[in-house]
Amino acid sequence: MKTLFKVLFSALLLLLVVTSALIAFLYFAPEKSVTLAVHWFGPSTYQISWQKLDIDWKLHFPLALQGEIEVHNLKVQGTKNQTLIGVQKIQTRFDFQFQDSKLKLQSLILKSPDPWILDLTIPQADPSPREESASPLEQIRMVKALLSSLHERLQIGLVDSDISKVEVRLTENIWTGKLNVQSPFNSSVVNFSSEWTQKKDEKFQTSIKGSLLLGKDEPYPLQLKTEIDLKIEKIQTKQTLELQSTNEKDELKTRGLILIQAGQNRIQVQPKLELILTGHELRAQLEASARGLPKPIAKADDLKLSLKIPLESQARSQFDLLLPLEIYGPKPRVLKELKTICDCQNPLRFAIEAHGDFNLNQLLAAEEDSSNLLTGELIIRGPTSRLFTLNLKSWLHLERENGKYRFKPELNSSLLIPSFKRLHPLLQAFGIFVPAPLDVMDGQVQLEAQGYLTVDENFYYFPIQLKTDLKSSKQVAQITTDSQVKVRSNFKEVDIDVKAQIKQLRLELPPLNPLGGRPRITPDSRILTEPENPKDPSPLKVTFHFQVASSQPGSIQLLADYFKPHVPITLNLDLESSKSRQGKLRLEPFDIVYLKRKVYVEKMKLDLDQVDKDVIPVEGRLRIKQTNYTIFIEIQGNAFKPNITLRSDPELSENEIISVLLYDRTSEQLVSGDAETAGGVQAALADRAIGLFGLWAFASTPIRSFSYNPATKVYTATLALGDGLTAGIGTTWESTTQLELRKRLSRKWILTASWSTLNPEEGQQTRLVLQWENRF
Amino acid sequence: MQDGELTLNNNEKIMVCGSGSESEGWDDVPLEQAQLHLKAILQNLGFLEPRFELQGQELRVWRGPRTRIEKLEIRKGAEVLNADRKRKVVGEPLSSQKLNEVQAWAELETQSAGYACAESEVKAQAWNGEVWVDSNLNGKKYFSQVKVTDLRGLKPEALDPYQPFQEGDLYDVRKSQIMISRILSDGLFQSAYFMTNCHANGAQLTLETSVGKPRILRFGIGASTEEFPFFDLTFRNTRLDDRASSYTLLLHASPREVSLNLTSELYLFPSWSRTFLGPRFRAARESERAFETDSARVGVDIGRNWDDSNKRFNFRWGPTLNYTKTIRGIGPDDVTYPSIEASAGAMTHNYEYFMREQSEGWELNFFYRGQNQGLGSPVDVNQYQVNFKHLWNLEATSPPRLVLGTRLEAIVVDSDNLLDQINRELLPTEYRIYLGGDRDLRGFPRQSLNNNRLGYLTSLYLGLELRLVEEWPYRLQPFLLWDWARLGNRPQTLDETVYLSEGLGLRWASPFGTLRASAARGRIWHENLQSEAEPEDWVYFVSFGQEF
Repeated sequence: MKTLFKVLFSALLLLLVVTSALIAFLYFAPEKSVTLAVHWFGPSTYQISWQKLDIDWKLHFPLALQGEIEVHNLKVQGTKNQTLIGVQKIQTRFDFQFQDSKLKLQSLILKSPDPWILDLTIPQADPSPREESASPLEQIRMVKALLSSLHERLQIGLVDSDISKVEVRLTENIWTGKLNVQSPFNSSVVNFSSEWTQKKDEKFQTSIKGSLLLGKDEPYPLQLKTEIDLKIEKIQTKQTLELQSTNEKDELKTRGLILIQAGQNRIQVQPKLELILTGHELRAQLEASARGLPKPIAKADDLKLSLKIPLESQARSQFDLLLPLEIYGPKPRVLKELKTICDCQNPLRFAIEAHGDFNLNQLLAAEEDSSNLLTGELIIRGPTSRLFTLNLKSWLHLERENGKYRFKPELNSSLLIPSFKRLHPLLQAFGIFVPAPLDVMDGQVQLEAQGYLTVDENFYYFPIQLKTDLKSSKQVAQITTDSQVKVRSNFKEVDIDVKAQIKQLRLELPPLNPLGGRPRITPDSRILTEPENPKDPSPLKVTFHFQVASSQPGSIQLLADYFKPHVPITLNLDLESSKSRQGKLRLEPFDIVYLKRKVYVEKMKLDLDQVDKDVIPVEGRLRIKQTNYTIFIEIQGNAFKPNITLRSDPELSENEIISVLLYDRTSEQLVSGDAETAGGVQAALADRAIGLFGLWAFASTPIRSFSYNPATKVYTATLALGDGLTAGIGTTWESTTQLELRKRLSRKWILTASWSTLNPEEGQQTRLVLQWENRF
Repeated sequence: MQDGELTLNNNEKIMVCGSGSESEGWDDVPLEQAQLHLKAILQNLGFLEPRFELQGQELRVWRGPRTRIEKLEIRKGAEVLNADRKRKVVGEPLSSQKLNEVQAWAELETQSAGYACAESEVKAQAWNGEVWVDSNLNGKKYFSQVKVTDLRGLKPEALDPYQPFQEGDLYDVRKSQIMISRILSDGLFQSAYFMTNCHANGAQLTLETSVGKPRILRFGIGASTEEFPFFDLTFRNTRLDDRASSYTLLLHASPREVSLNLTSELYLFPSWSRTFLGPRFRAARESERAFETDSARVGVDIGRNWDDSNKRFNFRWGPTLNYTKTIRGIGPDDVTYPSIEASAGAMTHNYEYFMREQSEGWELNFFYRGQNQGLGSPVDVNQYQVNFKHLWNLEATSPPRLVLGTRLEAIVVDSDNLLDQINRELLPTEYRIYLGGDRDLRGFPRQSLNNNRLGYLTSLYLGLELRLVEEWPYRLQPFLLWDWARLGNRPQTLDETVYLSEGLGLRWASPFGTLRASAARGRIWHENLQSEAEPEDWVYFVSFGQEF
């Protein structure tokens, strides 16, 4: 026992000596002590140095310590010798006392007349395994526990800290500011204020002023009240923030006004956020309203978002969103139409609703895969309309696979237009017109978006289906379209992949008369109306990819009086807006009947791969039954300048076939005028001057005269309309070399007006002759 | 239309206004669609800044100003095309039709200058009214040997008389058209046209033909500026042999003339494909204001037609046996005599190509007829006639603006014994010179300068005409005319009297033929006994088919 006492006494004495020595060392060599302390206990990644350190200790042993520290040219340097913190001079005076087993900071006065320089540019860190950090809730709890512990163990008397100027460097930006913290003597309130400005162009300005109340006996042991003014370029906000914390719960409330200058619009947002943290859950309630939003949004008032996050790890959190929107109609005409077709006022009222649940722990636990991170439903409610039924819904799914989040909404939206015709006024009001002959058709149009909206690294994908079922007494349009819309994640690029299947499309062609003149309804591409300036790239790039196919042969039917019963078309077209197109168009057999002629189109195939270069390879065959012959017109090559081969059964030469086609007899039986006509047709065919339309006119009309000028490649033709009447096609005086005009009165009789140069004795003469001719 | 008029064709009316009840789908065209169609139609016509206003069910259209072409620029092919020579473009409306015209001009000009396979593209800039032409000339081409698809038994050299170019000549599309025109007007083929293919520096022409039966029988009834009415019966055989020898028999009957004409061209000389033998026969009864005669002529010529690089030449020579009986007027009562007739002529290809437009080129003709006393002829007489006509496109533009026409005609009837009044009366009608009328002195009535029906023996005529082209509407071409002539009652001698005509006229080139009207005042200087009888007054002519 005595030995034990000796040992204990010796140890106590040693401790006392060491402590006394330490205190004496600290007291008498304070700068050396700090240097050693920084060396031994300071952070290894930073180097702390100073030019001069004056420490003046006053120890009122054993319960009070007073001191003054003055540091000159304090520097904290990083591993690459860059100065992270630089201060010219700091003066600190403190006064600690132990009272009632608590450390009481009687006073803390920190004065720094010279600017602080802080460089917060983060050096490129070596990749190192991340330390597992606590969850935000755990961190909140830890802070709260620390504050509580501090509050219990530390009493603050007077605090007067004033840093008049701080320069903070972060990458290339420099902020300057000042910080002032004051706590009156023996008060539980800490007042603080700080102002910060971005040095370069003062785009960033903020000031924070508030107070922290640490009152043990108050209803809220911890209270924080701040006012924050913030200005970042065109955004300005003034927010009040209140934090009240008790043992049972913590409440955080913010409210204020955010002003955003967006172009001509001055947007006002009034958010109100309330967070309540209890022992078992975190509740968040956000309410906001916005005014001055850019058109077409008129108002976005009463946004309500509520979150309920239970703190039990397996329980799921819930969210509920309601955003009422008011949207203006774009034009007065639209408003007028809207009032007639739907139960809605201007502006139109919409509501976006979203609700669902999620697992916060799984969301935050980044390493863990889950297929059920978030589920919910998004609903957009619009004005009810007599014209259409709009149903915009989407199921929301968020999952994580291999550490990557995947947002997979499942769309379940539809737009049903029961009467397409009744929609015309609204479309017209939007500047969209339905052209003839489609404008007389009525029926149902249904647009559906059903299925998953898939997401990969760069794009969102979602499907859209369009079904049209339109009819009129003669016309039908039954088309189904499946589209895949691909939106780049930055919303600057949209690809739309459209696959249309034409079940039946029967349309009337305009009842044009081949002899009624060429309708000049296509602009002349040779006339440039504006300089070809390079266009500014659009902020939104939209590309289309169309695949159009008829579901069965001949499902496209074009109606005209000349086509019996109609032109049946089979189409298979693959069209990309940025690339060349591909496709085939095939005419199924039909008859052309015009001016008592009948032509049977056996087949006609057009290759549309190079249509943009005015090259349309064509392959076709027409059959014409004349009195004693069957004539086949075979067409090959480019549709604009086809190669035309004439064959017949029984076999005839080409010029004979033309004679038979035009006059129903061979050239030997023709009079010379008719033979010249046939020759002109043959020349024009050989020179590929007759296109498909001309060929149709040639094959299906009784031509009475035809002249062709190979130099200008212009042909003129006169068609017999019956009863001795004739009509000219495209005759121009400049382009024809015709010196003789004939009018056929019967098979052998022709009325001829001719101009001729006779021999020098007789001069020139014009004659009008009624002529009969026979060739033998 | 709020500011002017717009004429739509029948099909355009359907595309703009709808078809009425004819078609359900096109019964009515939405106004927005009509607006699009109207915009395109107006653009085609040169109205490039139209304005539209939709008011209820009404579309109001302001067609706006018509954009005019400010400049014609040749960007490619300037070595051939000269924009300054293309008229009726600058200042004209910028329309599709005008661009077509510029394109046709560029193609014709390049193909006429040897560039057989030139490709021309025309574009217009609406904002500054510039029209530019890009002609890729693709190199000069030369005529290769002409291929013929179907000669139906003819020898290839049968085409030689028609061919205005030779292998190796610089390509000119107008020459190929001249050849077609010659072939068709001769009736050798029923139809013919050339296909042109380019290879290296050659243009390969293939003549596609349609050959009908050789014999043509025609019967016609009609009227001309000279005769009303007339009846024609023609029989022609275009292929007597494999060298395309031919003959034509024409029976013509009118109040002025009843005649039977046989002409022929027999290519009998094996190595001279352009030389022919031309037996001919004519029997006629002619009734003019100054005379009425029965005549018959039979003869045979040797002739040749050939071309050099830019001219066509013809020549005929041969003896004729003539029979003439004068029924009324001055002339031999009943006489049969032999004579020699010869003619030679040259005509530029330009003149032949622009014959209808009468704007360029020249032609020169010489004619000789002679008979000797004693071989059945009562007199010894020779007639020499020279005609020269030159048309000048003064500014060498297309189309021409001013065309100056000049013509010169000199006729000399030469014989030692014609001063004798008796011998003059024995002179056949064709040796007598009559002037006046729209063929020469336009200030005097037709054949009114006839020396008291005796006719003159010498004449020198000079005519000028200055014509304004494509400046007046409806293709009307006004012209100023001036004629000068001196006549002689003796061989190789011109009297002092000068006959002048000044006046103006109007030409209209209709598709049927040329209609001309002129008003000219005849004036006589240094009058003599014969000329005193002639009136100096305004004379008006309206002619159809007659050219300067």
